[in-house]
Order: sequence, then structure tokens, then C-alpha cells
Amino acid sequence: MSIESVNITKEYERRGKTFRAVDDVSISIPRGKITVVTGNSGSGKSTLLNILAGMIVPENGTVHIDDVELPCLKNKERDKIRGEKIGIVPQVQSLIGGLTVRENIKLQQSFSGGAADEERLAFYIKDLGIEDLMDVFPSSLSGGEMKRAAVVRAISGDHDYIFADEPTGELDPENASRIMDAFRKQADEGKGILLITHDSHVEERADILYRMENGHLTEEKVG
Amino acid sequence: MKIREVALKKLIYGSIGGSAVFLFALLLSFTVFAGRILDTSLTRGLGNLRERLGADIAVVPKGSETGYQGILLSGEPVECSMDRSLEDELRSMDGIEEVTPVIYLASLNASCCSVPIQIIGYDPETDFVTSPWISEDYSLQLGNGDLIAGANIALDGNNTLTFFGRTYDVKARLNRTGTGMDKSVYVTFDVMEQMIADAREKGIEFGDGSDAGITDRYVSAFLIRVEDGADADVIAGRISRNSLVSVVQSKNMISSVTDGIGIISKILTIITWIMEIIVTLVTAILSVFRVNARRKEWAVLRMMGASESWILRLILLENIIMSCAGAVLGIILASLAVFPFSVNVADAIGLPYYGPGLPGIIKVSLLSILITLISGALPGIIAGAKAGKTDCYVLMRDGEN
Amino acid sequence: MKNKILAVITAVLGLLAAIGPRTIFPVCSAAEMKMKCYYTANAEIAVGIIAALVGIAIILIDKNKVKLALSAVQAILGLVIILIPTAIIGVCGSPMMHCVSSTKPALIVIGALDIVISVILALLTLRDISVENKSR
Repeated sequence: MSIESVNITKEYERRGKTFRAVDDVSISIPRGKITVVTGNSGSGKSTLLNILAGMIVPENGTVHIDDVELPCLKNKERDKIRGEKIGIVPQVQSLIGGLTVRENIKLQQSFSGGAADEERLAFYIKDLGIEDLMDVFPSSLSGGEMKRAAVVRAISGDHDYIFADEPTGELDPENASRIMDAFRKQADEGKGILLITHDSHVEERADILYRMENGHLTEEKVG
Repeated sequence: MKIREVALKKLIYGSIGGSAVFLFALLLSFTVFAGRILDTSLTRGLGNLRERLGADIAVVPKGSETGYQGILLSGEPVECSMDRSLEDELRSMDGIEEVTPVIYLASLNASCCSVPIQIIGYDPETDFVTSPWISEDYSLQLGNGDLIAGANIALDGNNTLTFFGRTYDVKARLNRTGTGMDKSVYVTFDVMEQMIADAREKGIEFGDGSDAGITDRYVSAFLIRVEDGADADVIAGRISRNSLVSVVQSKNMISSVTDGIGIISKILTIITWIMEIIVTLVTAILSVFRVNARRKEWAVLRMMGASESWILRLILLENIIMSCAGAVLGIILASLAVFPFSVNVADAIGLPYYGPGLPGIIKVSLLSILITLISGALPGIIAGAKAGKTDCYVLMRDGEN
Repeated sequence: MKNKILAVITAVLGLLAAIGPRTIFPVCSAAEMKMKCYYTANAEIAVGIIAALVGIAIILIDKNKVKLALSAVQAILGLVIILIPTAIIGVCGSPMMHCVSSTKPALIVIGALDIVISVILALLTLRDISVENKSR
């Protein structure tokens, strides 16, 4: 069981010129491992993440999530699969305003159609240090707190895969480390983790490492 | 989490700025409610007028036509007199079924009120206009010497009224009509004769200024009912050959009031439609703005697994809640404007005005809410569809990954 | 900001209730004798001034819990403004006297508006209290 993509290509227009954000990329996100895609800004990493999550439909190529082919599905069905299978930690603005952290988690669980085990969830809430923040509005959270809460939210839906776009961006090393520890634990529980980053500390903790440049993907040695 | 909960929490705690939609909904609902109530009241007043007129033709002294109409429409007191000898001639005319004389006197200062009111003298033996409308609360046999008060007249302590210094017992009440009849007092001719005498002492002249039997010689008007099948126009024409009198036909009076109301009605309807269109447009623009301002939120929701239709429903719900709240408050405010001041409104317009009862008010309220909801829901659907299509590039632009 | 505007409106309403019955929508003159409406006008002066002061207090005070209590008081004052000409003291009997056709409806409207706005003010303050609890 994994997320497989073969030969995917995504083009879009910028300033009158078409250019390929993702150029003939094949990648596999296995369960139980942390896969990291690294690269500079503008290299197409986020676009890749969104394609793998079913948010963008590629021009060419296929994407399978646990043997279900994505682009064939109607929007509604793709949304449903994403909600059930993949928990996403977005790069910015990760929580919904006007809802407390607890309510954000409840909302995620209603989209996922299932909830992570209560005890495990409580464990992560404690582990990532947001117990005192559960009934607080996102507007009063610091950047680090918001990210940690978003990670818990992504975990709360009992998904098979967790995607995170710049999970350690703007975080101090201690917070960054806590988050990476959480991802490791999730991987050990059998989830497939995909991290997009240009933080070298994240690269160090990858099981599988890719580098992306101008839309092209190359695998790198881990070590 | 139910989508309803999310919408409510976001409206209350999230700073999503729906207050403009709320205010416009309030404005629309206010306009619709007030306009409909006005329209309904005028129509009902007209209906009452039609029912209560009784007479087909009124014969009044030349020049007093507007005064006569004023009595019925707004209760403006009037005084006029003409020779009663015309009565026999009228009774003998072809096509005339009933004739009854009336006398109009304006009170100086009645004990009850700070404005002069109309005193109407009627002949109980020939009367067919006033008697049918006496309220059943007072089903005493009325005869000479009794006084009947219109619905808006307030009585003194022991159900009495004082005119020109003399106190009278009030024996009956007329049902409320919303016309000038509510502000009038009805007396029999013998009482009227006493009043005329009292009035002369205060300096008011009626007829030729003499005393005894004045009502035998002078009246203010004759009210006529024509036989079934007779042509009222022909009869009216015959009467008006008498150069001393003018003829007012009820159907003409009704039709001119109907025209007046018709115009007001049209204006109100046009205003309502214009408001609806404006508010819907403005709400649509505001909704689209709001949706654009929250693009990141939509992208995150889609990442969490929300479908396009879920997002559409969320925005629709936000709009509906705001519109509903505005609609209800608009109705409350409009009620404050229309109901407590209905007497003043009626006076200002000078047309019969009879407010709707509770069922009518409920109907108008529901209509106002419905119209306002539509003005909020339509834009909600449009904006919601737009929001659902937000793609995740929105989130990437800032990070340029 | 919204709250301050609403509070100002209630203060203005209080002022209107106080001076209206003697100026803008006056009761009957007390030349010959003092009728009920005269006493109604006097009572409204008192209640109206209190309402105006409460409205000002809501603007000046910061503590939300106090604001909430004052809003409730303001709503009650609005009710009193309505009850004075309708139940507690009353006005003249005839529908054609000024106090019945102008003053009473005006006071009913003022009182009702006061109630409505006070309720809205209370709800907004309740929300602020709730948000306060959910922040740090």
C-alpha cells in the first residue's frame, strides 16, 4: 500500500509562457517511512505535493492512492479520498479561524469520516504540548503553537498518509525537533509520511530523500 | 462537526464581516414589511368604506361636495345647511327607493377631545346608513334622544359626552371602520335641535338662525338609495338640475379613492422591487468580496477534505443566517414605525386606513422574510460556488514553492 | 467600536424619552388641570435621564461583565419607558388627544428601540466575554 505516481507532468502559464512545474516525475510514498522532497523555492515541490494529494490534476501521468487511480475520479470523490486517506499540514494559515483548536480537530475528523484512537490522540496532544491550547482561538497562537496544533490536527483524522509542506518553517530548533519526532512516531505506526522542505535538519531525518529542481526529481542517497 | 455549527461559530467568533449583508437585509425587510402593511391597510380601509357607505347618492348644498367626502374619508368636521323642502320632491322621484336627511354640525370643544369632531344628526325613522353599523355590545333599542359614538371617540366617566355645555348619555358605539365615521358622533334630530340651540348661544349659526322646529326646515344633506335596476346617473342628473344643490355619487367617490390607493399601491410595489434588486446585487458583490478575502481558508478546508459543495453550503448558510437575522430585526423596526403611529399615518394620507389583524401581519412578516432570504441566498450560492473552486495555488503563492 | 455606537444610541434614546414628552411630542397642556399625561411626562424625565446615564456608563466602563449587567439594566429601563404611558400611569382617554396620538406611540417606539439595542449590546458583550476566555 502506497501512493504511486508515474510520469506526472503539470504545466501552467506564467507571464505568457508555459512552463513545467512538474516534469515527468515518478515517485512512490510508501507507508511506514518518512519521504522527504527537498529543493529550492520555485522548484515545483508544493505542486508535486498537491498533485499527490489530488488537489491538482496533472496533464500527464497517473497517481494511485492505495491502488485507486486519482485523476479519473470526480472532484467530489477525490475530495473524499483525500479527506479519508491523507492528513495535510499546509504551509501557511493552517487552522480555521473562529474555531478553537479542539473544534478544528473535530472538523477534521468529520471530514475524515473517522477519528484517531482517543488515547493516541491524547498522547500526541501532550507530546506536542498543546494541551493548554485546546480551547484557544488560532488568532492567539504563536507561529510554533499553530504549527504544532496543525500537525495534531492532521494526525487526528486517522489517515494513512500525512503530508506536510514546510513543517518546520519559521520554527525554532526545539519545536522543529518535536514535530519531527512526532512524524517519526507516526511512521513507526505505519503511516506514509511525505515532507516538503528546504530545511536541512529535516533532510537528515529522512528515510527516503529526493531532490527537486526545475520540475525534475532525483533520488538521493540517505546518510 | 455539523456545517451549521461551523457557520454559526464563524459568524460569532470569526471576523468575517457579514454586518453589511445583515444591514442591507434589515433595510430590505423593513421596506417590504412597512410597504405591505401600508398597502393592506389602505385596501382594507377602502373595503370598509365601500361597505359602510349605504347611500348611492348624497344631495348636498352647492359647494359642499368636498366637505361631504371629507366627513367619510377623514372625519374632517363640516357644517352646511339647505332647505328641507326638497325632501318631498326627492321621495316622489322615479327610481328612488329611500331618502333620509342628515344634519352636520361641528363641535366647538367636546369634553373628550382636543380637536373639533363631527356631530351627525340622523332621522331614526328613515335612516338606513348608520343603524346597520351599531356595535352589538350595545344592543339596546335606540330611539329619540340617544347618542351614538364612533369607535375612536373616548367617553367621559359615566359613558357621557358634553357638547356646547350640555351633557349627553352615550347609548351605543359604532364598530371600527378606519374611516371618518370613527371620529363622529351620531344623534337623533331632536337631540340635534337642542345642540343647534346650544350652539347658537356659543355663536354658531345653523339654517336661518331660528329655534323651534329648525330641523323640520333645514338639513345638511339627503342620503338616497336608488331602486335595484334604476340608473343612478340619470337620477343624479335629474336632481342636479336644481341649482341650489350638488350631487355626490358614492361610486364616483369610491372610484377616486380606489384610484388614489391604486397609485400608492403601484409606487409601493415598485419601491419594493427596486430595493430587492439593489440589495441582492449589493449582497452579491459583498459576498464575492468576502469569499475572495478568505481564499486561504477555502484552500485549507479543501486540504482537510471539504468538498466544493460543502464550502458552497457553508457560505450559503452564512448568508442565510445573516439575512434571516437582518430580516427579523427589520420587521421589528418596521413594526415600531408603522403600528404605534397608525393614527398619524391615516391622518396624513387622508384615506381610509384599517390595519390588518394578526393573521395578516403574520402573512406579511413571512413574505418579508422570504423576500429577504432570497436576496441573501442567491448571492450566497454564487459566491459559494466561486469559493469551492479555489485551488491550492493560493497557498503556494506566498511560499513560492 | 460597534458596542460604543450602540451604547451612544441608547443614551440618546434615554434623552429623547426624557425631554420628548415636554417638547417634540408634547403631552396635553396642564393649563386647566393636570391630567395623567402630565405625570407621565414627569416620570419619563426621571427614567430617561437614568437611561442616558446608563448608556454613557456603558461607553466609559471597560469591564465586560459590568457592561453586560448595565445592558440588562438598560433593557429593563426601556421596558419601563414603555410601561409608564401604557400601564403604570397612562395618558388621556381619547384617541384624538396629542398625548394619545403622538406622545404614547413615540415613547413606545423609543422604549422598544432601547430594549432591542440593549439586547444586541448584551449579546455582543457576551461574545466578547467568551472570546476573552478563549484567548491568552
